[in-house]
Amino acid sequence: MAKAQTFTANREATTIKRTLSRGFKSRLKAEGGSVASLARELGTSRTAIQRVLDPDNTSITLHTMVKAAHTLGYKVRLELEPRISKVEPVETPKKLQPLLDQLGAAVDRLS
Amino acid sequence: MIEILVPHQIGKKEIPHVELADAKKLFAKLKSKPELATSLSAKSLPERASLFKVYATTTHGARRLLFFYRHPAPPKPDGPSKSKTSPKSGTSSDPAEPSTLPPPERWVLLFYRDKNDAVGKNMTPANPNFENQLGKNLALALEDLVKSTAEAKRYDTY
Repeated sequence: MAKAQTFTANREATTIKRTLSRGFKSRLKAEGGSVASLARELGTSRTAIQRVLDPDNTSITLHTMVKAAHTLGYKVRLELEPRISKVEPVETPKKLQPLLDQLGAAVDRLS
Repeated sequence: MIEILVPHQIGKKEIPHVELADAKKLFAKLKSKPELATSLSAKSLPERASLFKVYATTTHGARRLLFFYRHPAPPKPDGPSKSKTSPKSGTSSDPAEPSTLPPPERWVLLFYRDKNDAVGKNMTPANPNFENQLGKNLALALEDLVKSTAEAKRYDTY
């Protein structure tokens, strides 16, 4: 279970990082900037910027990502989405079966 | 296609106003996973009506949703002589023939509860609270659906 959760988390983190890196790269290209120029603006090293732009490197602090985004004219917005982990049938209480049948008939009658 | 129906009385009773946005996102997520309905149909349940529980996590915490699920009616057997399908194209030769889209899978919301709620923590017939509340909610949902008209729907569709 824990392994499956780690796998899902890694996949999600990579997807997020890829989206951000792609956005940063295209913006940098459109502005005619370079890794070195961005590093100078952010006051950091070129290696740090390469980590920011690496789509598979998810070990970047949120602070660095937000700073890079601001420098490139972006605003980062994170949103939590609800998650569905399981769906399973539920045994119907016998005495409620007539009500279920009536509800079924009512659903069938809907246009 | 899946249609999630939320009878007005159930929506008012079960979904707190502040959680409405989360609930809508959950419904959209459920609709985007048609394989869920397929897996439920595949369990070859004896009745066409059944209940199923959804385990979800929202920004407000863990939630347990209970849906009433109506299996689509089995298709009526058609004689081979009645078929108007062109053998070459596989399409209908009669333009006036109604669309053969399958009927939507209809899910009716009955519970939207916290995981630790008296009902949410154990949604089985062994829990008297569940059985009692389920009876009440089924009656409310039934009332809304029966009294609905084309002009005045008493349920929301997602």
